[in-house]
Amino acid sequence: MDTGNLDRYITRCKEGSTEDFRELLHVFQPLVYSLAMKMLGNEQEAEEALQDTFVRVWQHIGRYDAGKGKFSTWVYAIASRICLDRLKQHPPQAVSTDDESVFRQYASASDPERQLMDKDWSSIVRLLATRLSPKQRLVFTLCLIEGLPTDEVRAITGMTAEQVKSNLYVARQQIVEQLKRLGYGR
Amino acid sequence: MDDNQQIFEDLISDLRRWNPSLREPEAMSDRIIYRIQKQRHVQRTGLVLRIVGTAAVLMLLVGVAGTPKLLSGEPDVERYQRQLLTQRSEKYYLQTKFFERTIYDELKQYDNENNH
Repeated sequence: MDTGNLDRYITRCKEGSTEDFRELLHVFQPLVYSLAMKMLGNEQEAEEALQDTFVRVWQHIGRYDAGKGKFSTWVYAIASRICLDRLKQHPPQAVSTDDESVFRQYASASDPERQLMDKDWSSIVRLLATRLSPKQRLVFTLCLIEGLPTDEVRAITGMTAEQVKSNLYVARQQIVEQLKRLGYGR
Repeated sequence: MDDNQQIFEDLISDLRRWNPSLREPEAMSDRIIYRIQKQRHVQRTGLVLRIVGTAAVLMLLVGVAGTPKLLSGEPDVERYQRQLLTQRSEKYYLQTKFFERTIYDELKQYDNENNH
């Protein structure tokens, strides 16, 4: 969607048009769902977070100011806060042996066979992120998995560049430790 | 690059390629729009109730403030007011005729109908 169209939809949403909001949903739903799945590692939780995100986007769309940043960054920021709240309210359950066996299957497969289902990837994310705090998990997801630039991650999370870097560093270390614990690497 | 780093990098590049998708995106959009409309309806109903409640309280206050007090000191007015308070209306008569009648009421009615 080009910027002109996006601005038009946002303006109409601010005037109360739910039909135009549906257009925004088509564009941004996959983005938010992807973030929620990678953060929460659970399909049902991710769907609930997705719904909560867009209900909040609708409630506050009047406050969105295009001069302060991209709409996608603003949506990401809301989605991140909702995922963080969910992680704090319902801390992820202990890693199951199923998650471990999915990871072992993944690690032992050669490249072309690494076509996993969403639930398998969720298992792997859950397993890797076991030792991460919610904030480390968020920074890890945004920077490394979603591949967003540091400036955008700062805008989304409200952290300073140093906080982003240190959270990312610790997250990397923890994941490498987790891989060692699983018997991969030295 | 050591083994740990290699495994880590492979994992990250695979995770980047992972693109989770909703099973029914249209149904999800419908659910979100439904929640928004429901919330909007609840907000509007709340607003209407608040306006009606405020209007009712204001009307009550205006009514209480505007009700004239009973005049006193004027003999003619006092007599009229006493008369109003003690007078039994026709409605009262009909009510007692058909409901809540005691023996005393029966006797009184008999006396009224035959001697007056």
